[in-house]
Amino acid sequence: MLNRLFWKKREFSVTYQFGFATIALICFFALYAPITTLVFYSFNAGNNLMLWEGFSFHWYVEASKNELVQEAAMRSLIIAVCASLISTLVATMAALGTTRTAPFKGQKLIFIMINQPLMVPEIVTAVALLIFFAIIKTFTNYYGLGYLITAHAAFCVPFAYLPIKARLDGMDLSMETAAGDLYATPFVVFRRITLPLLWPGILAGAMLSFVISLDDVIITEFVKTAGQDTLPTYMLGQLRRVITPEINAISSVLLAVSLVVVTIFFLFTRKRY
Amino acid sequence: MARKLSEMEAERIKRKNLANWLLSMPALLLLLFAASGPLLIVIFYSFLTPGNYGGIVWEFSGDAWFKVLFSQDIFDDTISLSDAHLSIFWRSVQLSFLTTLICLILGFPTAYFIATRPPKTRNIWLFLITIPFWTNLLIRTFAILELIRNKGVVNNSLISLGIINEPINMLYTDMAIVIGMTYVYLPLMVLPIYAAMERFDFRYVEAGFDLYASRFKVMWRIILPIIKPGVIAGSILVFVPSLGAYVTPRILGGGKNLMIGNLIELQFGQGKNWPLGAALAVTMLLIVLLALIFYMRISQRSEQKDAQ
Amino acid sequence: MSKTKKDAIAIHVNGVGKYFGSEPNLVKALDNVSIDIRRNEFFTLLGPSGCGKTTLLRLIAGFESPTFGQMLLDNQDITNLPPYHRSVNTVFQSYALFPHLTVAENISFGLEMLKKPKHEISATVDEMLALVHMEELKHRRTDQISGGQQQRVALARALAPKPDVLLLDEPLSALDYKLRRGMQIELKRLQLETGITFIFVTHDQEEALTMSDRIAVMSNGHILQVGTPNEIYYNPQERFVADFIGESNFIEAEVVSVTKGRPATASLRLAGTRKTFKANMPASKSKDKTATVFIRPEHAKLQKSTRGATLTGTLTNMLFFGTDTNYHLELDNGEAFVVRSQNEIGHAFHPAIGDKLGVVIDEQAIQVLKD
Repeated sequence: MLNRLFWKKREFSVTYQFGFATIALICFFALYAPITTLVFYSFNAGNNLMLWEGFSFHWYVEASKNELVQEAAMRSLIIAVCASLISTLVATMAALGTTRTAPFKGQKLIFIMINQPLMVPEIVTAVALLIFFAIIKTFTNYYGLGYLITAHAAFCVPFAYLPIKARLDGMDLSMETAAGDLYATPFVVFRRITLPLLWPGILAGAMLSFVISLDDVIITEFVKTAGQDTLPTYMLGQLRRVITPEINAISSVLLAVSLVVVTIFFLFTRKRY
Repeated sequence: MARKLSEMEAERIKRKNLANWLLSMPALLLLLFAASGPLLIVIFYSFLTPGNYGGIVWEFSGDAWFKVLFSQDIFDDTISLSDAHLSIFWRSVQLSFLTTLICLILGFPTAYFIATRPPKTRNIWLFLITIPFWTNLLIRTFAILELIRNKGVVNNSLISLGIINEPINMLYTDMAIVIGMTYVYLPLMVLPIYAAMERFDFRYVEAGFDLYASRFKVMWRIILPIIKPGVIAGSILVFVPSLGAYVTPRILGGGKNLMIGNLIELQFGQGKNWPLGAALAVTMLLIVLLALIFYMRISQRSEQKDAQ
Repeated sequence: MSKTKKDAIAIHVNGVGKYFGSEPNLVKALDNVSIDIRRNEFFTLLGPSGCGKTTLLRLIAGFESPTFGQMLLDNQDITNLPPYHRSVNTVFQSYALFPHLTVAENISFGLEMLKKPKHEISATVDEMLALVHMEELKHRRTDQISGGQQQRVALARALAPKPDVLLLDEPLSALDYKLRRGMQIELKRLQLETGITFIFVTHDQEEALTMSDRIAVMSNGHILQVGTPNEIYYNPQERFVADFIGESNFIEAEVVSVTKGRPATASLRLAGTRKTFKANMPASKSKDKTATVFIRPEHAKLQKSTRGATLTGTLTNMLFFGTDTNYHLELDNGEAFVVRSQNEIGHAFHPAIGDKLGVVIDEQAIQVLKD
């Protein structure tokens, strides 16, 4: 038995590289330690951020009673829901138009356009929108949430587009051909075959764009009119003042929302048909 | 008859292309309106005169572009290279490069580690690396802030362990910015390298060992050259947002350690010089564009290799 | 080379086992295998997929460590030596040519790793390119050449460092039939020219028989029989070996008497007949009352009349192979029997399905199996 153990220890491994596993585990630790600490201190009873004074939900209660937080949370939610719905709709159409088709003129241009928000630094887009919307504001005198929703919907498009496109790429055209062969009209084929098969991709795209919109700071900070804080910009504003664990509590809630949505996304994209 | 058929085919393709364009149109219009189009206005604005209280005056001026690189002395009007702007540009490039390098050193082994796990557990590790990627950047930066401040967890534990007597001043330094950006952008390095690693055929490694290559030589001469496109993709994905970073330097760099992003914001806030801000933004865009072109050329070359 | 050196042992495998997983899902890929492979030998590991032949090859190459047992290369213990310290090279089934290197760079890789001087490397690369007739494609990328050419580069790359032993893991399986036949001759030539010990893994019995000096037939993680192609074909010890290589008839026989000796001989009566035969008896079977007897189809003769025949039966099917025809019979006791006979011009014997025929079997054609 001891002999067996001895052999086991000296087993040759093709993939082993010295120190790689250690670095990887350190990375995983380093990625989670700060967030975990942050969540941990959101349950601190005391005023001090880092001095542990016992467990309590005090700051969650405090945050939920704060009217500014309530408003910001509501605004974040409205923007995220509207933006993700719009971006998913247009992204689905664009994905249907650009995948599973013979190469056509301008296809690359469409692809670059759709992915443009991923390539341009957010601060540049933010500045551009600030200038552009300032012009529109002087002409229309409209100062509502529409600007934020449009801006969010635009930069969410690539995030919605990619999982839908990935799903479509993995779908066999022969199924639609078979349905057409069985006397289904193009509309029926789309409703009965394409859409049900595509549905997980669409949901995944919607969830990603929801999370992306919910988390956005920079563009919102530049585009918002005074008094249009979302949760992230509210937090950014608070950072200038005395920081209390209230911020930790809000952060923890946002983290939890992202975690849930991303987990569902992961389950959706992992399943194959 | 044959001609007629080919004409019908051409007509069919034409109709299909039109349908493709129509389907893509809403997305394109949205992006043109709220992403790409405004970029053109930024370029236009960079050639206008600043208004007294922000905004612009409709008058052509090359002043903003001049000010990106040069400064005019208030007293004797002498022109010199703008130290403030140049040093911020230089700092941004340096910090972004450093961040990319650290992310590469940490991210490569991590991606390798994930890719060499058995298939069952691999998805869990992958999930663990994606979670931080999808969580709020502000919150993650804030978590780092809480950790490294003078009375933060790191200093407190170091003091209580007796390793140091005085807290190390980490916050509001360049180091803090690099730590923060590394923390925030590390998953962007790991994911593309993992994608390349996952497709990597470990029989090449066996062949390398078989031909007397040590583990180090196998890594250096076989694995790295083959997955180079993934490494470059990861580096670009980290470098570009680092260069454009705004939130992280604002929170961790305090007021004094600016990066280009903060400099741009200043022109629209306190500075009230919109054209200069626009010119700075266009400059940043150009740097990013160069990085992207560099990446495209390299990835195209490797794609050509694949196709042959 | 002196005769003693030629007969020296290149690879000595002693009681080696390789287990994967753990109870209750323990897989014994190799179980207590011992084998000696001689220097300069073309040695083949033959068996169906999953028999452990590739595992044994990977253990010799060093990509995996045995669960237990010991391996020697030229009398040196290599059991725990990493692959980069073994003078053993592999030709992979997938070739595993480095995609980022040219043909020449692939071939020089091993030499560079061994830190050979530059002029020696370029000389060896040219020599290897000539050996496999690939001089013109020296600077091509490996994905720009055909499968057969990749095969040659893989061979040249593995031969360039002049290893003591060359391992070949089903290297011909990806090639089409014609190319495969050509490469078989080519491989045999390379082995004779270089004088390197070849260990060849295949599931193709024809390939094994034509190329090998000796063959080890494997099944379920065990080596069943080691011998020259002749021995394996004509004197299979076990039913699996007889069945796996060539076509075989198996007939139950009654042991009438056993004469002691070395080897022991037995008097046997085939099932359903009265005549007795004499055949060598495996030691392990000397006490048994029945035995399985094996007869190659081409060692039996078909005749029109049942008179004087060893066995009789009804013709059920005929399969024409060009040079030969296989006649499928149902014997009187209901068992199936195949006779293979050469087709001759002007052959007068044209049986029809349903005919009652006789089979004549020579005493020498009968072989008693161990199991």
